[in-house]
Amino acid sequence: MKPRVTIISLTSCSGCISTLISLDIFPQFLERTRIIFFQFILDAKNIEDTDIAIVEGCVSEETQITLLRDVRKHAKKVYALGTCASCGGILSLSSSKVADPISNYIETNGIIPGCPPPSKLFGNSLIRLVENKDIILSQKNMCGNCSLKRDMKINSHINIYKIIPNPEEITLDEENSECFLKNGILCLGPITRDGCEYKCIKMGLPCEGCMGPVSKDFTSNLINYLSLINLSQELKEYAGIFYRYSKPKFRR
Amino acid sequence: MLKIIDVCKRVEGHGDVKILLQNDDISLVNFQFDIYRGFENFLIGKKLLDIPKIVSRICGLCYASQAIASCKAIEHIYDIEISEQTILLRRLLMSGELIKSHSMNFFFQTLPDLLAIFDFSQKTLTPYELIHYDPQLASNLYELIKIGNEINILFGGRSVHLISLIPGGIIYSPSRKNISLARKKFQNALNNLEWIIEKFIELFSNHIPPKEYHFPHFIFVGLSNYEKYDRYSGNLTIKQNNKNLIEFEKNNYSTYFGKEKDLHGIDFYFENKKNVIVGPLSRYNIIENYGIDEIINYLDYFNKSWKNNILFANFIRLLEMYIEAYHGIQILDDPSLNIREQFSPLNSVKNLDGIGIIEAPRGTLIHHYHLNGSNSIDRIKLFIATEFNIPLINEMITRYAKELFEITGDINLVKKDVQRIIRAFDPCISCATH
Amino acid sequence: MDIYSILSHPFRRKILLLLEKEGYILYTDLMEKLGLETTGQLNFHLKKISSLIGKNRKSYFLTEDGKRVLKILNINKRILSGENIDEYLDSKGSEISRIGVIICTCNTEISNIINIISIENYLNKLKKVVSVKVFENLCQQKNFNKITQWVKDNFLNKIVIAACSPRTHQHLFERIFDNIIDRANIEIANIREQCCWVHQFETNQIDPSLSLEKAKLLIEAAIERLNLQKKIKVKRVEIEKSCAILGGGIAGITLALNLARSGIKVFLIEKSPTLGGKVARWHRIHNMGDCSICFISELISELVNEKNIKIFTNTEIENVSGEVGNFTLNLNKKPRYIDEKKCTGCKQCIEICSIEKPNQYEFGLTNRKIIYFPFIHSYPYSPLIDEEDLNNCLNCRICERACVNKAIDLTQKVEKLEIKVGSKVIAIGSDFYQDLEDYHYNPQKNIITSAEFERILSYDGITEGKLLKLSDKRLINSISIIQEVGPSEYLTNYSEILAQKYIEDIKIRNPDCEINIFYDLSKLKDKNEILLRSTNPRFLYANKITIETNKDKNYVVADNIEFPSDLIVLNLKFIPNKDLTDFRKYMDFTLDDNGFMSEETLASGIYGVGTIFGPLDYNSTISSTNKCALKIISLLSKDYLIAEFSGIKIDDDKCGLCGLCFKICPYNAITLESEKISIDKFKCKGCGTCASVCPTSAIDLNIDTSEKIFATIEVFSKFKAQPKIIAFCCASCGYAAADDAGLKKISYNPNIFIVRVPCTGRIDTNFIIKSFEIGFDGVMIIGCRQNACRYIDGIEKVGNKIKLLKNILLPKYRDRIVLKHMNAVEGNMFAEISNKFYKKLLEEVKFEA
Repeated sequence: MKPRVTIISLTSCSGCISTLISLDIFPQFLERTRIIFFQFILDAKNIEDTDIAIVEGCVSEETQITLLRDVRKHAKKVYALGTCASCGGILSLSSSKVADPISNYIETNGIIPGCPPPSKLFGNSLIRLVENKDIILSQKNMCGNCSLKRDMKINSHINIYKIIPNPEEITLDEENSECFLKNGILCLGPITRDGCEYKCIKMGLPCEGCMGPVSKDFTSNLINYLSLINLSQELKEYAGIFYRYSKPKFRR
Repeated sequence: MLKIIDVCKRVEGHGDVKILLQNDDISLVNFQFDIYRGFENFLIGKKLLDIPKIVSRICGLCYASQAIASCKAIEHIYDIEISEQTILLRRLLMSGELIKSHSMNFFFQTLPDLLAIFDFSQKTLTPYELIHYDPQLASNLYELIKIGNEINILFGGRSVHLISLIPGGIIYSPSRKNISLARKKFQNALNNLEWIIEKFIELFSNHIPPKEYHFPHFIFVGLSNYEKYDRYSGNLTIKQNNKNLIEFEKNNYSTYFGKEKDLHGIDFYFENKKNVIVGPLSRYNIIENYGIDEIINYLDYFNKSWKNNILFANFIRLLEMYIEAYHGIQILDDPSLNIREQFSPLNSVKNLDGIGIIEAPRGTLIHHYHLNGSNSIDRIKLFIATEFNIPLINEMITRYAKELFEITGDINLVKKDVQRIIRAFDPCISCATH
Repeated sequence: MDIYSILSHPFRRKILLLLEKEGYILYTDLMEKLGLETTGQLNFHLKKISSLIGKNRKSYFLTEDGKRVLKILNINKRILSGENIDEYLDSKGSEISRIGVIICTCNTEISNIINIISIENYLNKLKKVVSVKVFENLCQQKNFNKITQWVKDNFLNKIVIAACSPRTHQHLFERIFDNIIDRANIEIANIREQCCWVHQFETNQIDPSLSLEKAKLLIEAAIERLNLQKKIKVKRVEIEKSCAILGGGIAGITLALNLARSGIKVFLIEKSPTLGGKVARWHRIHNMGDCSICFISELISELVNEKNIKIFTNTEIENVSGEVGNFTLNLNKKPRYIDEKKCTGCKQCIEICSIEKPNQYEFGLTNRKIIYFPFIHSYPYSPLIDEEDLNNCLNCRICERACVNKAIDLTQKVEKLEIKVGSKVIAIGSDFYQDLEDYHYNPQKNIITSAEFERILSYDGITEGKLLKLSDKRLINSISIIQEVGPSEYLTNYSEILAQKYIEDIKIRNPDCEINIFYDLSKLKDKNEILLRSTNPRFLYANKITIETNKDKNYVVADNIEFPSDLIVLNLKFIPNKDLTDFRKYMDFTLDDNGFMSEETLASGIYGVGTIFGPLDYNSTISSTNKCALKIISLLSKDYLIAEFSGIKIDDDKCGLCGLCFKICPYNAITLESEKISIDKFKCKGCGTCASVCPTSAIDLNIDTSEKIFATIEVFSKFKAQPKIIAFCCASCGYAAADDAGLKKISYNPNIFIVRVPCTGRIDTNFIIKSFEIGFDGVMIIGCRQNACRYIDGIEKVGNKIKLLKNILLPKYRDRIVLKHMNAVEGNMFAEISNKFYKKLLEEVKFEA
């Protein structure tokens, strides 16, 4: 018996969906499951009993809460797909809009984080779901396996004065590039979950934290992290960084 | 007055069809969205260099276009020239994005519709059924999705929300290996597309498309570079009834349209504004000659009844993928691709207004940022392709729904068929609800 | 009956399980089911559980006792199905929670305010509570047997005591359960100081139902915390029978002799090149006829001959690690450039040296050579060259050639030493007040300090003991002594004795000399104390004193009366030693309000003697030294100590080596070993600052886990009245201040809930955000006084976090976080701040509604 799968989109950019579809294993996923609700590719209207529900996007409207609860009622397991569903996502930057992770309203069985979720993690997770196993995520932050850290395994020279580096300030030489923190550029690697395959860092850009935190919440982690540092003016003025991908619930 | 709302299926994002019934007659049909995310509001006050990353998240299908338009607007503010290499790489990323977006749309959204409209299948096929209906077609299409994806990963760093797109240039210089890999991918794409286009011709060219998909006299809006196909650096062009070609500088766009009252809709400052269309069809009409011989041959298979039909957009999309793959190979052979230049510094603001215009897969996309005296953003206008098309979509679906309901009186049929028209436009709701 | 040892063997658990499942089983069946081949083994196990099973016609069954054990233990299938529970049984603390609650009525102090029966009923309904017991006076000896019996009867392994503050009777309560329940498994709900004594409804119109509810929640939170308590590791530390004394002044020397004579090995470590400290430069000590240098040199010679003492002069401390019983000290012995063993003290080298500089040991009154003796009786008796002087000297090396014994070696380098000791004593003394501009201080113009005056009086000093002016070497006929020169906040206890000593000494030298002793009341905070204290008619008390100079003549102007003075002596106060702050990096203590060491806060195994606690006279110093010696001897007379490590633990599976903890640790206790973070357990003091910044929660405290703090907040959030306030209080100051409010019975509102954290640096931004999320309206953070944090700078670290947090919060929330500094006796301030905050929030909450 193929597992029944429901895929729901809330407020989002659909990037997770487009990543899902372009995954190598997507045809296999179609073969091995019975998709009963997926608005992007199917006509189905109603939420029905399902084994796996995957929810993408953040909760920003009242109607979505009703929908979510309905999904939870019909689904054996519910997973949050992408940073929007698991942390709140880019809409957290907005001060007027609500951007809640789905776990604020319903119990979830796991998350597939990332903006978009890294394809390796995404693919493996989907296969595990189809095989009725739980998703395995790294419990570590990025620094441990980061190629830029090299020998200075513990970073005691954190010294930040820039949030967004001017492109010319970035070392392009892959061989000689150094840890961003050492060079005074804010990298969110320390407070971000490992698993994205270091895509930004390989391209010479610091981590933006799209994978979300491992524990605690993004904002707390960032404040704890920045409290260690003598902040420069640029950082003090730029409040937007604190809710790049999630914001504390009580701000409303 | 009865209001019927139906969720629009198989479109990108979450949109509704709202049908207003008055005295058993359909009075109005609207394609609408409830959610507006307010990017134009919350981008105010953000750091300029941060904006491309944020606007990329407006849409998971037009991510590259959004980010590139934003980069262009910011480069306009700083008034800097970017390197040839950057332009070529951006073009490659746009090609990848277009191939992915168009092939996804064709596979999952319009192909099942086409098969149903032309009676090849009784019902709308699910992707699973489609794979079993024509495995070769499905696998070729799926291959295309993956090729688009891979191109983005090779030059952009990941499949969606590309990393390498930053104002001032591209931070990443492609390796020889990646270039030869990409060439192989594009070559594959060309082969696949030849097969798919021929299949399309074989399946549909002998049929006459239903007249409800015929379109009235349109005003086409799009980019062209002296009437040549150029989605990155062309000028804005307006063409009406196959004449009145107006080409103008990007700074002058506000003579023709703007966003004054409401951030969720475009105001047009010319007549017949309900007939404005952007997107592949518009590009086809503005450009006419793509400069590739094969394309001219392919176009000859279709008669006039097709060319005045919205369903023809599907074929144009296939052709555009072919063109992009073709151009892609040309870019990969360009020696400038390997010449890395110093980044131009983004230090001094030269213009308080920054406008970036490109052709996204679904049509013209304009980013307009305005800075206040202290060089922080205080006004943002985003003109999204789907927003241009909305008045026309509503016009067409209202007209058709009225006719259909008069004949059949079947509201469910209306709901279903109206959605087919909407899908033929390939609306991007994520973008439109920015 | 020890239920755990009965159940420790898997066979025995299986037998019980089988009997429970099948009711009756024959002996042979039992053997077969257990897979045993010899009867001996089965008999052994059956015998072990004989109290739980019965036998009826060859069949075994569970007795009522056995059923009860299975039932009440409620041991889940996990354990009975054969999983190894030895792990749980061996460690103190346990994962199986059987929690009992003791409520102490505290005579009637508690039961008068809250309804004990209502609390008992509430607790009995809680699933996690096995049994509730009310005692009248838990702290009285007579109940101890009853309590232990109750614990055994109910198979309890964790106890919540709802009574007074843990600061009052925690140790007593821990002793009651010494052999049955581990310390970590005793949690005290502070319902007296935090509830009954501060929410008395009769006098303060506080809704009694709120007090009752608060008491319930306080106890429930303690239960939740205890339920989450995991086992902790216990460590045995062998005691090193030795002691390091830092500072070779009079206190250090006396202590060293005391300890050495009782058989303890002593390391006496002095930073300067000679022993003797300040007293060695004194002319004499008051009430003692002896001149002080004679007396000190006698002590030093005793010291040198004591085989248990090892002396390191010119030696600084580089690092200290370890814990009570086993400290390791890393020392840097600075080069002397002279081999003490070869040197005979002939002074040839000094005579030949051509560069002079002021001698700091004569307070700059005389000059010395680059190669020099600090003073005539200095020990070790050999000259030296200061390390920094070597670079300034001509490098002529004449001295090297002049030395007959070839004792001079200018190539000497810093020598690194490591010593192991069981305890350490800080005896570095204090510094003199230095900011003397107001007094026109200038020795050349006869305005000198008390220290310099000592050198004038000394027979080996600048004037060889004669009372001569420093300016023109003429006899002094009038002396003014200005008392208590220094910070106005505190008084010295030696100024009068010193003045009296000076009077005696001056009279011996010049009986006609006019002596006036002044007190400047405008510069003293405790004027009344000074006025009460002194009866000496020679002392003059002026509201304002200035020093004026006119034609080389100095005048003391006291309330507009001029006193011409040949010599003006400023009797200086001691100020805290400047090295004290450095010492805090590797020794655990805090500073008091005046910047001296606070004795109560010294960590175990570390002691202090002498003037580091404040300005003391000679006699008080010696008597405090003797007291300290007793403490050290009693500590070091044991062979070993049992220590629980209450610090932090690191989960390697979560650690991503980002290094945030490394950067924040105030004690540098976190290091990297073979690509893994590791804790130096000796350095770690368990403040938890690292856990507060760890982004992956890889670090957590052993006892005050984040989980427990969240559980506590969650329980408190059930409080029904608005506005709800959570107060994170540091254990050493904030919590004590709240207790102080209780002890003083100063009322504040019951809506304030106190969460104890080891240090305010432990507070994670997440705690604050979470508190707001789950419905608290305000967050208070109460920590130590600034610069007086128990853990060096935890309070500043939380301050940084709050500053950032406020930066991003909506204005409404910005004022809802309050950070205050208090010390342990400022209960009234705690109550005042709480009430003010409460009133503010009450209005805001009303407005919002």
